[in-house]
Amino acid sequence: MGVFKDGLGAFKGAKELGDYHGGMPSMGGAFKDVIAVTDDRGQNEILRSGTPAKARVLGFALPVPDDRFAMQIELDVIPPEGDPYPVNHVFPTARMKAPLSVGMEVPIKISATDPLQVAVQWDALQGSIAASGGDMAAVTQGLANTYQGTADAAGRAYLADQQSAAAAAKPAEASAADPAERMKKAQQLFDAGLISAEEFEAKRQEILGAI
Amino acid sequence: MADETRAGFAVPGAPDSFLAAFKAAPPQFLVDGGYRLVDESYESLVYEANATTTFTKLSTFGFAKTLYKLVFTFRDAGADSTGRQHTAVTVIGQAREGTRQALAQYARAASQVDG
Repeated sequence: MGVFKDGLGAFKGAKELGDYHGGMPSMGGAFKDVIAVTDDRGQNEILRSGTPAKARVLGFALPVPDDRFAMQIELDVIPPEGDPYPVNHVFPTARMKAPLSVGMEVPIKISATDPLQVAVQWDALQGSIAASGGDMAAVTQGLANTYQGTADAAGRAYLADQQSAAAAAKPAEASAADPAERMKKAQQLFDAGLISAEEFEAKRQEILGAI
Repeated sequence: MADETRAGFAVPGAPDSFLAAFKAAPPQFLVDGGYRLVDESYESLVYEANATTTFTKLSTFGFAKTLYKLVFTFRDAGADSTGRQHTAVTVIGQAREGTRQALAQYARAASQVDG
């Protein structure tokens, strides 16, 4: 009797644990996941028949909403002929064999039927990364490209603000430092009765003394 | 993987022309190792060989397959003191001992080629 009770308890415990992690997957759900992971989403066909080209990575690899098995990344495709153009490249996560970092040049193939469809040549990319110093160097360079760029932009904005503030303050400072202007201002204050004759005389002596 | 391979050497010549010559006439060790060209990019050639052992074939009833890849990347290595351009060749992938030794011999010979 105790064995059955323990077994039932273990079963309930497993179900509670499964529910806590989002529910136990059904057999059908598990098979769907396996199929989704193995789905190459047309990448192999592009790699077989596409046109070799290169692309530059413009951003970070990000998850695709409502798609657990794909990532997306902004690429600037540089075709063998014609102008570069941007592409939001969606690829199966399971196919990702190498890091993609901002600013990196990536070997790709362009679909023969749709130029917006591309496939990264992961093996060739691994070779390119090795030739550039390895994965760590690629990632470090990507971080440098990202954050130096940000710092540069922020620094440029800060300097621009400082320069414009300095330029705006300069006429005021110049006029404030000009004795004739200061004398005129003191005279206006005296004429308006805001300062006494003594105060005006003291101010006049101060301005004259500063010349 | 036990047969991981990584090598780098410089050869005389421009990357584009060396890549084209390499592709047109692959070194003998690639042919002997059963490697065939499966992909190429603007600066790389990707070779692949079936390295499945007999034991693996028997024990998995022929379902399992072991593929070895060798990726050759060709980049400009600048010019030497005489002004001659060189190409830096980087090799990564997997190869058996015999292929690795042949690759090392090829690298030594190609680095010394005067031409």
